Amino acid sequence: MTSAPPGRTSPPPSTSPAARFYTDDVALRTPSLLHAFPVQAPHTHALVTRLDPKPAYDVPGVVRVLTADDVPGANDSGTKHDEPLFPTEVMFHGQAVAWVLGETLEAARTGAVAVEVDYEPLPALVTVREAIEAGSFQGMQPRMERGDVAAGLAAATWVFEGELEMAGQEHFYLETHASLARLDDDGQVQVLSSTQHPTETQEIVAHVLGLPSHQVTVECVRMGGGFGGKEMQPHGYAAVAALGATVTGRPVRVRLTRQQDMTMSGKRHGFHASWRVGFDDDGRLQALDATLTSDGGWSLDLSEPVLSRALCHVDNAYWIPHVRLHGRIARTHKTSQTAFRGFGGPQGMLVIEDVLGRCAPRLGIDPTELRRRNFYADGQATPYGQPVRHPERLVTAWEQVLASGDVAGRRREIAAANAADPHRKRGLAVTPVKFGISFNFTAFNQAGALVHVYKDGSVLINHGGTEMGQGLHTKMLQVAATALGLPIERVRLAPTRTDKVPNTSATAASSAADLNGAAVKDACDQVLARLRPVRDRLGPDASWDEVVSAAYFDRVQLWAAGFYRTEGLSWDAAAMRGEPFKYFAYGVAAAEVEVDGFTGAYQVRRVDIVHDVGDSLSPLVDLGQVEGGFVQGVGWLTLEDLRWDASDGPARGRLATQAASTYKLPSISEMPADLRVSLLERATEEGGRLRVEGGRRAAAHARLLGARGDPRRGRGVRAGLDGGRAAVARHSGGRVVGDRTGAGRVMDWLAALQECRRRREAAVLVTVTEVRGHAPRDAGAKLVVTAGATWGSVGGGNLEETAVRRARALIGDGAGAPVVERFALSDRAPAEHGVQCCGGEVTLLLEPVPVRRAVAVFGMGHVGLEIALLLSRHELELHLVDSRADQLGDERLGPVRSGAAEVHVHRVPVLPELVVAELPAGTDVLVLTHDHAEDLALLDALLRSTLPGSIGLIGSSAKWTRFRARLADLGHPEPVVARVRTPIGDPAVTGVHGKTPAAIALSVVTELLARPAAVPR
Amino acid sequence: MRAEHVEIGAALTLSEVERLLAGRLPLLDAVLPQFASRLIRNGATIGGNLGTASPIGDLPPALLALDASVVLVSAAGEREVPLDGYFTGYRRTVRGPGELVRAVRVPLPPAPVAAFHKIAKRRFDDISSVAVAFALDVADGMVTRAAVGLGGVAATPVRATATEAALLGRPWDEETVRAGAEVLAGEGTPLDDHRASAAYRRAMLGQSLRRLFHEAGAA
Repeated sequence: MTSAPPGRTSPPPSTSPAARFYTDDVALRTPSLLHAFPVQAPHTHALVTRLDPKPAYDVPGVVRVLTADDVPGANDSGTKHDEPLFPTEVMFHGQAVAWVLGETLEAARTGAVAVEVDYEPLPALVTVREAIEAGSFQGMQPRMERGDVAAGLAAATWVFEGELEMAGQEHFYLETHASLARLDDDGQVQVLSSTQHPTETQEIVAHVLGLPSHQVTVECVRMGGGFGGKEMQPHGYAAVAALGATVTGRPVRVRLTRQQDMTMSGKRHGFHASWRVGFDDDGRLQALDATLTSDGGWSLDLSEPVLSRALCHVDNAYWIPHVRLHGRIARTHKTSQTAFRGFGGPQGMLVIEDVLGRCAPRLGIDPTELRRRNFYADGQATPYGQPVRHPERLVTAWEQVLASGDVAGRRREIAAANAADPHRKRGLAVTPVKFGISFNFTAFNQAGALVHVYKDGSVLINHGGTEMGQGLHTKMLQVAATALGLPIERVRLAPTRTDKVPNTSATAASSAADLNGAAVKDACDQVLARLRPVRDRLGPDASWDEVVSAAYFDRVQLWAAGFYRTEGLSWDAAAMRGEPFKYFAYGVAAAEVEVDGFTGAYQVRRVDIVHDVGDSLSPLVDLGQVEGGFVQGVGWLTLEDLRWDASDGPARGRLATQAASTYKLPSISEMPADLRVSLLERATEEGGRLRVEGGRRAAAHARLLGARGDPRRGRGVRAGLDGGRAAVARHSGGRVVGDRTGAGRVMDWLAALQECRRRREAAVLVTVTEVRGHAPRDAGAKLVVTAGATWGSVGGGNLEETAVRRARALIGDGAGAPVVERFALSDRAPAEHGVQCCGGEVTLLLEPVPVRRAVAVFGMGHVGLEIALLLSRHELELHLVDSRADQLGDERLGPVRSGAAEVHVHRVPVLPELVVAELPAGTDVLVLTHDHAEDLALLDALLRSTLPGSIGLIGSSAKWTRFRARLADLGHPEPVVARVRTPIGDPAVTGVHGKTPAAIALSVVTELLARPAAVPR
Repeated sequence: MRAEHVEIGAALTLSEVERLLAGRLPLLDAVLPQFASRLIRNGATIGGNLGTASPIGDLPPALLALDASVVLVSAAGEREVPLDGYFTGYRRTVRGPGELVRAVRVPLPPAPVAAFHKIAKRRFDDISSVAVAFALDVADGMVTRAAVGLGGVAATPVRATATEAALLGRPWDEETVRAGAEVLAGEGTPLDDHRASAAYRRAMLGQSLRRLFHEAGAA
């Protein structure tokens, strides 16, 4: 699906007023309509000991009370056969035990109140924890395993464990559940249902009525929202309407009130998770052992596939070598929890995001960096064995969000704002998403479509997907119009019906456009193939209408049934292994939130999202989907509150928040003040396109690198840049230009080296020192190589590739000494990157230009000044900080400035800890201010940062004992506090004795310079 | 509008009240933007809000802090009841059968330090869990007038009389605010429900005075 439809950014085609009808609009225009109203049980778990409908018949207007006795087929409304339509055992508060049909809704309601029901209450399980303790589970208990978790945890440097509970979520579609059933002339059952899965609704209705599927037709005109809540939940209501129509011979309408919908229909699964995780020294995930227990409610419903998808998304975007995941479905006395946008995926991802979010401070690593460090790389596979293709797209999205969201700049603003305001605090989180596209249940990955071309050239299409406001029908019209080469007005779309396209899959799993679009296109292609001979005969000037008309007279079939199945999918549900997804969609969000210290109220200030939606069929529709999905997620995790009464009182098990007055949806006030969503560019899901676009990708990556200006983050895009470089090399004859300052500008070697020094990035200068015979460049040609880029050239091709490799090996080894390399340029010479047969010999000098050491001295008292003086004699970057301006006077610092060091003076009258964020990565920090409070604030800031290469503190052991306690109070775990070196300059180690400032300084500097500088990450 | 008080007709919609007062009662200006939504403010009346007498209505705490009184009218005549004595129980008032709310009177001039803190789950268009209205006068660094109205802490809207006593005649400083906040946190009898826990409601009472001091600043 890569063709660009016409008018892809224009608004969706207008539809006639009649086409905006929803199920209940049709119902209310139906003559002799009966209204159905449920008799809801006031118990959470109880036996129905007596049900007497007779009193209801005394209510004027009551026509019929439907009970289990009326069911001709199976008294069951679920595909798992565990959902009796008319139960004898009440399994959740508000479950319908009977339905009353009335001439008016009021008659039906009054009749429902009149029905007499006796119950014998039973004990109920309301929370997941209660179910876990009682061992109340249902369905499968899958295990997903890779590697050796026990060994992985044993070998890990850090092992943490934790527990997490997340709540469910009400779908709150605008249109509550609605069905209209009637019998046609032949006694066939026609059901109009607000359903995402018409075929399954048809099957359940047929099963309840004891009819074959061909006797039942289900149609979905459109839904006022579904979000998964109408994937499996509509069946019972459709069956009630159909049963009523069968029993009375009159049309029957079921339309739930909001309160009925909230108390009766299933919701997003809440989950409980317990985990143990291991990290290595660098914060890389080593092993994860987790048990996820979903709250399935009273029946199985879609809980099994939801759990599968949750387990398949616990890895999210991260490589975890050893994994063991265990899944269970708790059976509780609540509504039957079901599909909800993401289908368990968000719940699974939340587990690992919780792990990373909670472990980051304990590891002393910035959470954003910790996430980035654990991204999947090319060639790695998920815990269930599916290769993670195109992980570089996630990196691209990540870098795009960091750059376009100016995350680094805003972090500094946030730090300043937080320091300035004691009562409002801001934070910024960057989070990735990797989501598998396709149904985990392989059979659902098929779709059908009908395309009719009428004699006048107009086109009618029909497909198995349903429209719920997500814009699927618009996309299908675009697919057909594009495939046929017609303006979109020539194509009309008919509502989804099971008698048109049979055996359809649910419109779900983010796959409806892929599957149904491919089926529509298949049908269009068939018609076009049949029209081709006619067009060939009539010539290129013939119009579509002329071709169609001529084809009809030639007796050419002008309609076709299209079909599509997703190839290459496999899933072993027992072993939890396989390749269940066609591809992964990636996304990244940066969210800035402000919390009010007085009330705890929070506000989302700004959110930047980059999402990979493939090659968008309809960008406006997709942007709307991303925005809507984000706000729905904000609602789930910050505001919406399904409060089930878990007390021992009489209302135990009742949903306390069963109306909009208490269940709060996000409104305009919860939208981020500034929401910026963009789609990842160049994300075509097709191999060929990617190769062609490699060059442009490389250029884009280079721009990103330049825009960031933060060498520590350079590593992230390297894979993408290298991939792009190979493509560029093919097109431009071997010349590689890694311009890091912006598109179009090429720096000479000297400027490049200065830039590397400024950015504190290790480089190697490669010079051609001698040439014998033919060679591409003369002696003197220069090339600058860094870990992520190159400037200049020593001749390109194999020679240059090899030189770059050697140079990067020197950078990797941290080498300081130059190396001479000799290369023979002949087709017989051994070469690592193909042959180059100029016939000459070239000698290269590779000179490492390592990053200068950086040292920061906080506190320029007597000792600080002496330390600065000693350090200033060395070639390094020296940062001097003090809150007292007079300590940093020009006169005092004059001698410091005369040395070889590059001196940066930071005059910060308040909050010197803000300087921490400005220091280069790997800086050796010495803390010796005049004030213990300032020392402590600095240590707090330094320990929260990953920037310092080392942290040294001057002072007594008594001071350190006090500081350690204070730092622990501030939330720094012991291993993080251990990063502080104290005392510094211990005479017993350095051999420099004496208590004068000069002696202490000499000892401190001696010790510092004896250690190698930290290599910036 | 007279020199000694403002009289607000009970049938005026909240949007009309907002427009007609034109900033004369800054405390009501602080309340009204947080009262439901513009759509509702265009229809809801000040009399209706007092008539329904909800313990979590938005206007009563503010009107209590403003020392307002309610003018009730019936065939027998008219009487003026201080709002402080108007509410008698959960959604019950002194308004007798056949009596209507005709107007609300607010004495002038209003206290200069005024604030309304509505604690709700959602920022806009939500019911308060707790609401606190302040009307204070500070002269020469001393609190010379203190009126505090509360919603959501009892069966009716109430005056925080103990808090008022803890503030009145004291210097408007951190020490007074700290002590006052502790008293305020003990006012009323907040409940646990699905909007908020009693503990959170109590905490928010205390916080509201601290926030007022922070925002209004020392005089």
